[in-house]
Parts: sequence; C-alpha cells; structure tokens
Amino acid sequence: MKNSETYFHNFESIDKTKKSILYIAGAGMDHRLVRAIRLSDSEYNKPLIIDLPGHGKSKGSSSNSIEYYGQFLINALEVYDLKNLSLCGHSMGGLIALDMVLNHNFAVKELILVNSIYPTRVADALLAKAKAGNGGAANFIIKYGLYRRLLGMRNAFSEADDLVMLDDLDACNNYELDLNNIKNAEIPISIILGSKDRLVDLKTVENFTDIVPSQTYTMDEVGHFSFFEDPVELSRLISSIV
Amino acid sequence: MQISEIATKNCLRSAHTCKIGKVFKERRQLLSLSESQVASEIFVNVNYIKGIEHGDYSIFPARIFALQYFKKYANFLNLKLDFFDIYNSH
Repeated sequence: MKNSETYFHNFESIDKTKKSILYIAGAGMDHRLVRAIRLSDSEYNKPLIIDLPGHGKSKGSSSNSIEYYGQFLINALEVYDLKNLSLCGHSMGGLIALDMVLNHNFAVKELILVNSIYPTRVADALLAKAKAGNGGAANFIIKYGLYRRLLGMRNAFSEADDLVMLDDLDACNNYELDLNNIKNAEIPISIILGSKDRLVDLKTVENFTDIVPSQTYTMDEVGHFSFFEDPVELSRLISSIV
Repeated sequence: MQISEIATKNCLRSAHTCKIGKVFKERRQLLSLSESQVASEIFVNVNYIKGIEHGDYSIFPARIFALQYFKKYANFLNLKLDFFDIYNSH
C-alpha cells in the first residue's frame, strides 16, 4: 500500500484481531529486511514495515535524527490505529523503536531490539566510507557485520546515489536518550543478539541491561544480520516473545 | 538458555501466586472490566492478564516479563502488591 510519499509494506491485508509487528530497518535498509521472516499466519499479520523517508520506495529525504524517524513512523501509523502492535527494530531501527516508546509514549505490547543497543557509536572509518557514498559504507558494514556467507547481501542496502547511509549513521551517533527514562520503562525490552556480531559492543549491552528491565537472547553463529543469516531462528524467537 | 526456561515453566504457579492473582481478578471485576478490555487498555497480551490472575507465570517468556507486566497491571488497578518472585523461590 502507498500514499503519495511513503511506502507501507503489507499494510493492505491487516487483520486487527491478529498480532501485528512493525519492523524498523537499520541504516540504509528498507522493507526488504523482512522478506524471509515467517510467523504463523493464523496468529500474526504479515510483517509490517514502513520505508523511512529517502529509503526503499519512500520519497523524501533521509534524516540524521532518530527522533525525526520515530515521529515519522508514529505519524504514519496513526491512521491504522493498531491496538495489537509490537515493535521490532534492527540496528538503527532499534534506536528508533526505543525513541518511539520511551520519548513519545507510543503504546506497544512488546519492544524487541535485534542486533541493536543504546548507545550506538559509529566508527570513524565507517563514517568516512559513508561520506564517499552508500556503496562503500554498505560494503564496510557487510564486511565486518556479516558472519555467514551470504550472496546478495549487498542488495538489501540502498543503491541510490545519495548519502542516506551517512545520514543514518550520523543519526545513530547523534542519538541521546535519558537513562532515567529507560530505567522506568513499563514494558520489558527484548534484545536479540548475534554471537558473532562485531558491530554491537557487548560491554554496552551489559551496561544497558544492568539498568533496563530486559531479557537478552543470543543467536549462535550469527553476525549483525540476523534477519538474513538465520531468519528461521529469528522468527522462532520473535514468536516466542510476541 | 531456552531449554532451561522451558524446563522450569511447568512450576511457575504456587498457592501464593494464585492468591495474589485472585486479588487482581476481584479488583478487575469490581471495576466491571473484562480481561480483554484490560488488555486493550494497557496494551498487554490478554494471556498475560490471564496468567497473572491465575497465578500461573508459565505464559511469560522470562521472569522480567512477569515482573514488568505484574507491575503494569497492578498500577492500572491501583493495587499495592509486591511481586512474588516464584522464579527465585525454589
């Protein structure tokens, strides 16, 4: 389904009696993130995802602000009035999900971060690649983030001749969250990590989980791209949480 | 991790959690609310509401879920109840 500017993936078939999960893609990625996610059709709607501005099939410009993306999604979802909604954010998308719930009091049933943690600080070398274009940054992230050998991983990233990756990575770097807000989170935060993920710092995860009511799950032999590296196990984990 | 969680799930109910659950249920009924209405109002899975009221926490994926939703439901009903930590009571 589309309006004039924004691409809504799988929103045309929502059954409000079923559970809905909105997935939020990471830097430079889009609705293709969920192509291998499979949950029970009788219990869940198809994976919902909205392409962020300047990403995938959505028009507009990307932003270097997590808060902007969060507000964008809240506005986009308003018309759907989903009462049975959970959020599942991958990498940068996890920060957006956190912001929606903690800073905007956006009501969801479950909040899942996949290969994501706050704070996320991006290496200078990656930022330098991103300044030169999306392709170099995507290659860098794949080189250090992907553990399993997957052909076609590059196709999951923006191929546009813009600096959407740079904006997104800046957004991660710029994002500041009040730790007191996290501490007082009403719902537990589920964190799904890859045991071979070199882009998520385990010390940061430890610091986060010391403060925040949360449950951590670790997927074996998976890097930063759980959605592609082991979608079957990820689907199983998500359905055990939501 | 998953195996140990599944193995202990059958034991996550006790006389004490049942008594506490009854307090939740009675307060909810006093307010003329159904389980579904509560679930919808506070954005919680209806099975979690049932789990708390039945004193059976095996429905929760992990302890932290039981704790957080217990607190959320208690706040909604304005109940001052302590969470009985059945996960660490053995």
